[in-house]
Amino acid sequence: MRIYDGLLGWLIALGGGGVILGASSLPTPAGQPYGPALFPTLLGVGLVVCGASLGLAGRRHSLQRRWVNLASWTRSPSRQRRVILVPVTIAAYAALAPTVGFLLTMTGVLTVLMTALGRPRLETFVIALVTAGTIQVLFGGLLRVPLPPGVLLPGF
Amino acid sequence: MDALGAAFGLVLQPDVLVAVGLAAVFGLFVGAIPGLTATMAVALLVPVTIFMEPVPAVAVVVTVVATAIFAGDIPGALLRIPGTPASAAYTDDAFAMSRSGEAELALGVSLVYSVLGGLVGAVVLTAAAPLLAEFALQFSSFEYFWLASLGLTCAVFMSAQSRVKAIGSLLLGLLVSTVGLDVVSGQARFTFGTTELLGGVHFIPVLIGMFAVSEVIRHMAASTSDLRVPARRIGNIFAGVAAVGRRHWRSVVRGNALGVGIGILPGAGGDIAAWIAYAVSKRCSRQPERYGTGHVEGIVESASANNSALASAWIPTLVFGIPGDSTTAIIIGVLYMQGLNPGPTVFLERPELVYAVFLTFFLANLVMLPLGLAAIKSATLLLRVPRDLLMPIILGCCIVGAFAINNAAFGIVVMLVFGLVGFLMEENGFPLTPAILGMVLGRMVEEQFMISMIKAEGNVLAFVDRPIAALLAALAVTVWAWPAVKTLRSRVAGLRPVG
Repeated sequence: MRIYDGLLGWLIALGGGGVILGASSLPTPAGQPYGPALFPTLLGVGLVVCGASLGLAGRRHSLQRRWVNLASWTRSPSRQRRVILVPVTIAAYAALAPTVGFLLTMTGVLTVLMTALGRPRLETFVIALVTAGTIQVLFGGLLRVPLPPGVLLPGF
Repeated sequence: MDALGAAFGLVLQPDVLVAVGLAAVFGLFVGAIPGLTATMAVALLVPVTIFMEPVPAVAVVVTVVATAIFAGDIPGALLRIPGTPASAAYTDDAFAMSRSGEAELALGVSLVYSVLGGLVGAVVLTAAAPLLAEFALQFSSFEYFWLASLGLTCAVFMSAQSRVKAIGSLLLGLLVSTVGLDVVSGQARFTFGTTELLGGVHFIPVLIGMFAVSEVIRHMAASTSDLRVPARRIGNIFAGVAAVGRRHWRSVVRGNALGVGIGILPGAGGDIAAWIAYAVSKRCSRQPERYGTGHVEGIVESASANNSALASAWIPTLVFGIPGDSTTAIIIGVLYMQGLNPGPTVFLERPELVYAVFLTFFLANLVMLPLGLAAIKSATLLLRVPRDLLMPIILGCCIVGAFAINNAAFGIVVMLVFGLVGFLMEENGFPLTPAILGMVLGRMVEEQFMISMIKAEGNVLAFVDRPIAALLAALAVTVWAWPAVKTLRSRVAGLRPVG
């Protein structure tokens, strides 16, 4: 998904303006000439200048005339679904793992992703379960990362 | 000498040797799979290294990078798909050699000269870093500020993509580093009322997001399925390698020298070293027309350069705390987490650890020879690993890695956000390396800038009062001004009347 440089540049400049505005609300400690706002303000100014030059150069040089040029994957429903599944499964893991537990949630996430990539469902489930179990043993057991035990492994 | 003896004692431990062996297998595997980069391999391993002692942690990272960079040559030679960007420069030659029945020679040259390059880089690192550290002890906040600025400048100007976009990427990284408590006053900034952001945005989930999750998204968006790998028996890969070295000894020397020199520059890693070495090799060759058609000379020079650059990139990393490329930027984070704060004082306070780090480079490159041979012999098997199964497994490791940093789901959210940001940035031509360097160096740049400003009571001339600071400032300004000077010169040349 390629955004037209002429638009992207001005969006960055706008973001830079937001940073300057946000930094201006930071207080300067008493007795000090410079405070926590100085560095972010300089970065904000940098973003405004960088964004404006990208915006102006984009208008002059870019061959792209549409605001957004959609990549080829956006025209294929199956590839679209696969791309969207990545953030969806990560978010689902973050939301469900604390209650359902690592093992079940990770098995589900891996099964969904592998199936979406066209692998047979039974094969993916077995591989997903073995992978989740291996990660549980390596991270949860050996490295002592407190992976959420959930309903399946309450005492793990 | 005592420090060196202690360093040998630290490295020759069973846990370090086992960790190096496993890391080499992991690095060879990741490097050989097209689409998985050395940076991604390190990003996936970093959450594991936080549970290790400093020496095995550093040894693991060094070994993974060295082996992954070499292993990228395997699919390059056999399938014309470089496993990592550092192999892309000479893929056409390696593949053409394979098609004409010289796959063994292409892979043998690549392995042997990668190992040699890695060892040369390690020698230079061991010799140069302590000397530079002694010199760096005289540095004050002004010199550090300019040095970090020079590092960030190089990161922008070494980028192959649009310079304005590289600057935008750098500013984004610097901005992310300002989130959390201010380094000087302790004031909370850009935390939006969340306690999780008070400690700042941890760079590891960002890194995993930008380099690994974005790669998984790219795989999901691609229409390609698993690679078609013809069965192939690999014979003796060492036959003829020494003769190639004798015939092209100038390329070996030049490749190593170029790699070491380019690796030291902040922002330029093995990828850029390989491309420049290939271009220089072609220009200096007696048979430039044969490049790209299966000529071994370019492979010798570039393979030497990309591996020698890996070790020399550690010189600014260890001596000044300024990373040379994206992997050393990650390593700086690993060193801080291990309490091994990079900078000249580490050479005085913990010399045995510094020497141990140097020794791991020698170890990693020596291990690469037998394990690299094994990887080449089992290339067909390695390349047939279905990526449709591998990518979801990588995503699973990303989730657990991001969680393990603080044992909190917040790391997963950060990883997701930066994964999407990284994907969109790459789709729009914004390089990721300046953002990572900005994030890692941001705190240091701000701290040195604020200390200098307070010391100088706002007098900006104090920034160039000391001779070394003035020299570094002049270098940074020259790099920034050079494109403008070039444009001006070409315009003036265009205006000059002909004849």
